[in-house]
Amino acid sequence: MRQRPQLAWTVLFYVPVAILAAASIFGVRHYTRLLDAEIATGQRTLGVAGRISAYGEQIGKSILLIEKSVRLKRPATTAVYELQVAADRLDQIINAFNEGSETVSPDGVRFMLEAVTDEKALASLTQMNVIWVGMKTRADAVVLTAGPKKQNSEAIPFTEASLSEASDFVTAQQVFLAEQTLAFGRRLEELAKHRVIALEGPRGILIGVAAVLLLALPGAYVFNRVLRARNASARLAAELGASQAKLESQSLALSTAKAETDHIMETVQEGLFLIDANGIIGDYHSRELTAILRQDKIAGRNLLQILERLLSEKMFTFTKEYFALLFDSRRREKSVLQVNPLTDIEVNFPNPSGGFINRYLGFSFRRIVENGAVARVFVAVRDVTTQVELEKKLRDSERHKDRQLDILLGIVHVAPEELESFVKLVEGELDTINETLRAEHFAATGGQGDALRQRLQTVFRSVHNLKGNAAALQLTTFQKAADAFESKLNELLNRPQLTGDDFLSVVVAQAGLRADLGDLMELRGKLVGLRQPVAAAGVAPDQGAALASPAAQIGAGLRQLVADAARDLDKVTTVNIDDYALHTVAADRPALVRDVLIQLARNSVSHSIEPAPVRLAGGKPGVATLSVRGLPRTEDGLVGLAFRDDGAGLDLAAIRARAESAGLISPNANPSPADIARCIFAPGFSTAAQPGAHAGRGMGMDIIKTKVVDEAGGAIEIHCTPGEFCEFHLYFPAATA
Amino acid sequence: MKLLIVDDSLIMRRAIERSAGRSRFSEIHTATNGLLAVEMFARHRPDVVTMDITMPDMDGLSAIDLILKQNPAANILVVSALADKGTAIEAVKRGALGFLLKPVTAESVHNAIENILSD
Amino acid sequence: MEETILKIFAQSVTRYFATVANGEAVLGTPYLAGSDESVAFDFSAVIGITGSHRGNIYYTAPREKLRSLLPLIGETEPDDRLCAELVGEITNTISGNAREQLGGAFMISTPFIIEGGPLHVRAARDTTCYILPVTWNQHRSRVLVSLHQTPVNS
Repeated sequence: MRQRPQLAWTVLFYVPVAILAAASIFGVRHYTRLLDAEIATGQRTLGVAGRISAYGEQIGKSILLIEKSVRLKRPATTAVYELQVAADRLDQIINAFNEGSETVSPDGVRFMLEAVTDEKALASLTQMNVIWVGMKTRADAVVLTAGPKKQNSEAIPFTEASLSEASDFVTAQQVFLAEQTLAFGRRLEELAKHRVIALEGPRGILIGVAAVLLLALPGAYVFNRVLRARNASARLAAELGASQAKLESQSLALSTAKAETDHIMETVQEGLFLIDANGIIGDYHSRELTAILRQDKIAGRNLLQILERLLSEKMFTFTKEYFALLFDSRRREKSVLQVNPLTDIEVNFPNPSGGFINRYLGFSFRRIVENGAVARVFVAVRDVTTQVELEKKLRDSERHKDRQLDILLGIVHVAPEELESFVKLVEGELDTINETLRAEHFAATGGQGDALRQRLQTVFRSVHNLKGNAAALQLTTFQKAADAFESKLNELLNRPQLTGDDFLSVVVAQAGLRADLGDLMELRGKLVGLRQPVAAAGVAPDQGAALASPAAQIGAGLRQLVADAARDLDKVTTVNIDDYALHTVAADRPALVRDVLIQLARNSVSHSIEPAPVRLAGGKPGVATLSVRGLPRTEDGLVGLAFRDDGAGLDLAAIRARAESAGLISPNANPSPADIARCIFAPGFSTAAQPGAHAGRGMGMDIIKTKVVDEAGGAIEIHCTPGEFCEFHLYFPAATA
Repeated sequence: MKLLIVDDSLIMRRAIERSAGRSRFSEIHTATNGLLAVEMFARHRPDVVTMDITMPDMDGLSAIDLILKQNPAANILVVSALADKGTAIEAVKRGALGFLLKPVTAESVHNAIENILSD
Repeated sequence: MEETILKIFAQSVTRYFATVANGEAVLGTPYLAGSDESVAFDFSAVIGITGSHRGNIYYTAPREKLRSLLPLIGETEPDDRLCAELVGEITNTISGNAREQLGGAFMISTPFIIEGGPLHVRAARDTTCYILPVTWNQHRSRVLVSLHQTPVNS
């Protein structure tokens, strides 16, 4: 299988980039999660620490109130209660920092407060502990004595003096406590910051990496993650003032990444989306997806159901099976990606105005694995119609190239005028064939078989003539195509019964020749410019003029044909042409004279002329001579040409045998040599043992007779001495003077 | 008994209508595409549906899905020119009870409908 | 390849007449459509093909033929509207039937009917349009096949 450029891109670029991007995104996600947790804990810890001085204040305030109440001999129930709560809470907090324990944050969240281990923080904490012990003793005592009277309490009620002392002490200590708390809080904040920064570093890098990769490979799945990360970072920035600047810059990076993602998702010429194991398409997809799939509201729909409408049944079955593989985490992703059946799949969208819109889509898939399972699959889809069509054109043209090259090589050596007349001839013969075939009416149902056979023979004549002319010009492509066509026709002619169905191969072969002719004409057009300088440089003006004359063309063609045929058949020949005589006869009917001479020359070389050793053994010169000379004008006013070869001539015995088997001569008859010779003009007659490109299949003589006698009103004579020579005299009406 | 004939070709609708047998069906409705077929099915609840496949707007296979969603017991006979095995299998997989290949004759239509109703 | 496809359509159309009209349709010698001639009889229908192949299938028939065919399918009062419908249905049937050999990937559209008027076959440059003449009951009609195979995905 040929690697396609797009496949190479996928493998060498998109896949690694996609993997990297996915890895970065997951990294970002991981760090963001850690960061989130860190930020939350840091924030709550700071909140809790902040409560220390608040409770300290509360304790001082409560004791002052109690003192006042005692002084005014009023019950101090509320104040005592508040003092008790504050003291309990503060004690709890200090102990939590000392030992680490679950604590309730100011916003009411239970969380695990870690014991302080940092040296500087511990120093503050120790100070706070000292202060707190003093405060706590007094607070407890005040609660015990000023609180609700307990039965059997041995506690000594606080006097105004002792209360005053406690109040003074607590108030003073509370300031120290606040000071220490502030230092403690700052230190905690610093620690939190460090921890955040430690997480932010890799995350920032990953965000950068992801952003860059996103530009190369926009992935829809990033969207969610980036959005989440951005929310987290916004909170972070708001809540941790100290790291705000840093976070803002990061948030900016994230926003930029998101904006880029947004932009990409809006403008990318690919459909990007996620599907889950059921094939349901995720909420975010690139805008292009709706255009590619020609449907709105794609999010939440099942990709398989969408594809079912677009794909052929067989492809859809493959696709279903493939999706199962994609989500089967036991299969190696690499293997699964290799067998993607949807790399350039033809889809057929129903056309609102009827019919179908035919496109090619290229899907690529990437797994998103979470906890060892394939949670979702990232899908990218592109409209690859243009590529596919280009590739198809390329393939077609490659397939065609050899043939075109053949034709090209064939025609460069052919003079433009000759080529021109060949094109006309082929066009004419193909039209004849099509006209013959298109006569739809049959005279009667009974005569259909005969009518069809006649048509087939007409077609055969045209193809045969075409073949001869192609051979004369060494246009091997045409020669071969015509030869194959002939074989087909021959096979059909040998069938006892013919029906219209039998002609299906005939019309297809005709279409093939027509396509070749189209190629030839196209190439001929291209060659016009190419040829001119060669002709101008290499050919003298008078030679050029000579080339242009029909007789010269025919002569050249004939020499070429004989040389080729002789070479192929291992015979040695020379050709003598009386150019003047040829010119006299051919000037008025070049095509006819050319066709006839071609057929005669082909037959001579194939059937009449013996191989050189045979000739030498028979006392003849090894080199056979073919000649064309003029004949005297007849009394009827016909002008004539003689075509002669000094070969074995007509094999009358072979002709007779063949004629008898073809029913042309009765086995009991006693035909004259002339009667036997006449049989060679019968349609379908052949003496060729091995039909080949050069040999006629008997139809050559049929053409000659039809064209010269029936169509042109001329005559043909055969003069033959078997074993010595064979001469055809061709007579044509003289041009109207 | 009610019959719903779904085919975009007037010739086919009329041919099926004649072949199905007036005596068998007291009501015969027609639809020219899948969308209308689904609508007509909901409105008339026919006992038998003959369904073409190649139709504009919505093809017969999709219409089969939607009709069977309305009534899983619907009797659907597919009458289509699509001669590949896959199409027939697909139609049956989707819940059609029979598949009749065009060109049809009065007899083949009649037999196919009787076949469906006798099950 | 092309010969196989032509054979399929030749069979499809003869099968149609054998089933519906209970009579033999005879295929004449197929030929190529010329570029500038109309090949239409009175009623023609064209079906778009996509999937494994691309192109069009046409069926065209003269009024008299369709009018003598209609009673055989139960239409006792043939008129032009029914003639038009009938060419559409014949085109649909022979195209759809071709899927038996060509498979489900040979996708056909609904028929588009052309009444009267010259019908010039507009084939792509590299697509040949073959004409299969079909005679039934002395009535002529034509199936036009203008298709090329879509390269198989590798």
